[in-house]
Amino acid sequence: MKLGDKIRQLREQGRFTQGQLAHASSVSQGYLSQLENGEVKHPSAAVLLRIAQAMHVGGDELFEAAGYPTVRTLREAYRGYEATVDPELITYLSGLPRDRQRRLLLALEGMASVLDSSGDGNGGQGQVWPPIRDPHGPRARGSQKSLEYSRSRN
Amino acid sequence: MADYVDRAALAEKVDPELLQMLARMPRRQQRQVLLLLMVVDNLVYEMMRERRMREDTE
Repeated sequence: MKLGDKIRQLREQGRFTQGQLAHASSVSQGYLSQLENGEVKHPSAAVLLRIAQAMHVGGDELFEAAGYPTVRTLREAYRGYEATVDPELITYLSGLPRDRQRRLLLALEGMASVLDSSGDGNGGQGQVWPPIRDPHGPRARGSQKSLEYSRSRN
Repeated sequence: MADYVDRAALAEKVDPELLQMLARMPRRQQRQVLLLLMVVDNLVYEMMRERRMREDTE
């Protein structure tokens, strides 16, 4: 749900008028109206927190609707990683200090940039590191051909 | 369930950008990263051991 719709829904549930909520959260009624109509792109976390407190609800719902990371969204993201990243690798990495984790990240990014700049014609998309030679690839086919050629000559 | 929560807690100790990058990799490459880290660890251990031995003999 969009932030504006969320604020309006919570306000109506709490039986507040726009004026009452604006007063209680120390924002102008015009600004609150803009928020509800989705005319404010990036409201500050402080304003959202004041609005949430005035409506006696937790700030997370508004923060999430505004795209701010919350403890809950971060936990969900981490659970997502837990499902997609090899569990043994996570266990290993969790035992490394942060500076070594960052160095590994830099190394991996370096490898990715080498792939991107290798001029493979597709920006390294779909490539793996290290590059795996296709046993049936052009080079292999070429050597097979030369082998056949040399055999035919003998 | 407890095991699942424990593993999620481990993931929280890992740099989020690194996790994001690893999550984009196929599992086979993730295993290669793990292997690489273990090899590097072993190499560092061997080098340190050799250095200590050299220092002891000097």
